Amino acid sequence: MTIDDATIERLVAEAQAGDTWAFGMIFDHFHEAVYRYIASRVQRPSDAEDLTQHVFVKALEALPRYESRGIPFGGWLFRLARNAVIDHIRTRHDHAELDSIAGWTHGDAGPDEIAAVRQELDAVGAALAGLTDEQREAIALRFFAGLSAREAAEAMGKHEGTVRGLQFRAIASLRRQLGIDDGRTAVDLRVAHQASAATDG
Amino acid sequence: MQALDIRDFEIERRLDAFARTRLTPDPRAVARARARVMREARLQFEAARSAAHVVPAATLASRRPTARRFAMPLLAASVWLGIAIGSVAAAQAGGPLYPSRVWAETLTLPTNATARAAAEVARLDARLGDAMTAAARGDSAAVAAALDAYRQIADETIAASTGDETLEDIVAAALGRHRAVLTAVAERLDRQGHTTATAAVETAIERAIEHNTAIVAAFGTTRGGAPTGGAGTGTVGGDPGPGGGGTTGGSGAQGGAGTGSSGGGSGDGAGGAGSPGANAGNGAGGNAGSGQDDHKPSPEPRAAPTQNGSEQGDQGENE
Repeated sequence: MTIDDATIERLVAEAQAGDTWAFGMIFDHFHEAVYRYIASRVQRPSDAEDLTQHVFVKALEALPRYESRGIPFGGWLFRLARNAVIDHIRTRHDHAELDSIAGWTHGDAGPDEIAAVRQELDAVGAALAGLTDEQREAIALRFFAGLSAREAAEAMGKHEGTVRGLQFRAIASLRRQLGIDDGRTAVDLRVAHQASAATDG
Repeated sequence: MQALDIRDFEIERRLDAFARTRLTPDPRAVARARARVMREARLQFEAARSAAHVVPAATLASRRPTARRFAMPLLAASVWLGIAIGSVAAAQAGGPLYPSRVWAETLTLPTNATARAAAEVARLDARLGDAMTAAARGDSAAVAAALDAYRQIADETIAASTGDETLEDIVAAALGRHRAVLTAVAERLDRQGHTTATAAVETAIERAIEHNTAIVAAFGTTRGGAPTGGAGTGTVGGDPGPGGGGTTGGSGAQGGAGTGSSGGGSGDGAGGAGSPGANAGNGAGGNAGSGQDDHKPSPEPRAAPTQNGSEQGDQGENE
């Protein structure tokens, strides 16, 4: 489901006014993205499910205090999610090691996950595990949750340019680890980064 | 979504595949989570709606019209005032609020002179009643307080009625009546013996009697004793009855006429002639007995008979 920012703001306003349906729409729009982000940060799917639900309940409680002020709602919501993950990790004394995520398989691994694909996905998981925490978080927010650079920056509490830099370096690292060598030079990579910033901004 | 260089499409594709296959929630888990969150949302929104009904009630207080906002303080002030007035009105002689009660009575006095005099007489009656009640229970302080108030009211009444013979007559009649009552009470206390309390009560009563007497005497002075003295003089040749002397001192023409008849006769003439004027005159003449009631002979010794009626008349004036 694709909803533009204006529609999201309208739904948020209606939810703030006590419209349950509007909040349901917000849940439907953001739930999977939030879950993906959280699942990429914690070890167990059950933890990810619980934390995702917790994030929406927290959002519900904090909703009356939310003011747009130019901050996208997605960024605000993912900041709640990020804080929930941090609290979870701090409490459980564990870290969401992506090498363990790489071993995840939903019990009902579908026919998509044929052996070749599984191998490829394991490689991606291993490559993600090789990133720094911040790079991994940037990748999770930008690719798994689908946030814009601005929303990701809001969620991470960093400048947008910083997030773009993290993303750029993370992709370069992934490419190296996954053996995707397109033969580009450093100059080519810089140009690619600038093009990404121009089109995404 | 992120925009990537076309050559990074492979990375994007792999990350997307990773997310779809390994980071996608179980639809049943999603359904469960949605049900729980929506139930929570309904509860929270209901609570917010309930609170919204309560909060305006509190905030409405600040939006009430000025009159309604001040209604409660006014009501409280009215209740307080009512209690205060009730307390003052119920104050007994000797109590801390008794002076306030006496003062408050003056606020309701009519402006018309005759009606005011009648009201003042009623107040004197009330004070006398207070004194008698207090005397009955041996409360000398209360008796003193009541009689102090009595004297104060009497002074005010005299001051207000002086110059108007009708009013003076009304007041003098009342004071004479009161004096009789006070005298009777004093005698009764005297018979009871002199305990400290009764002595104090008796003292207070005697003081009131004296004051009363002085007031009536003052009336007599203002009511022109000279003409009466002349009339009295005519009776001197006869029995120097106390009536002659008494009335002489008193009250002008009326007293004089009375004196004339009584002086020549039995000596009870003062009482017999007792118009209000004569009564006042008798009192002023020092014949308390004949002066205390219009038609009663005096039980007390009367002024010594004199050969010169004019002298007696003068005496009456002077007293």
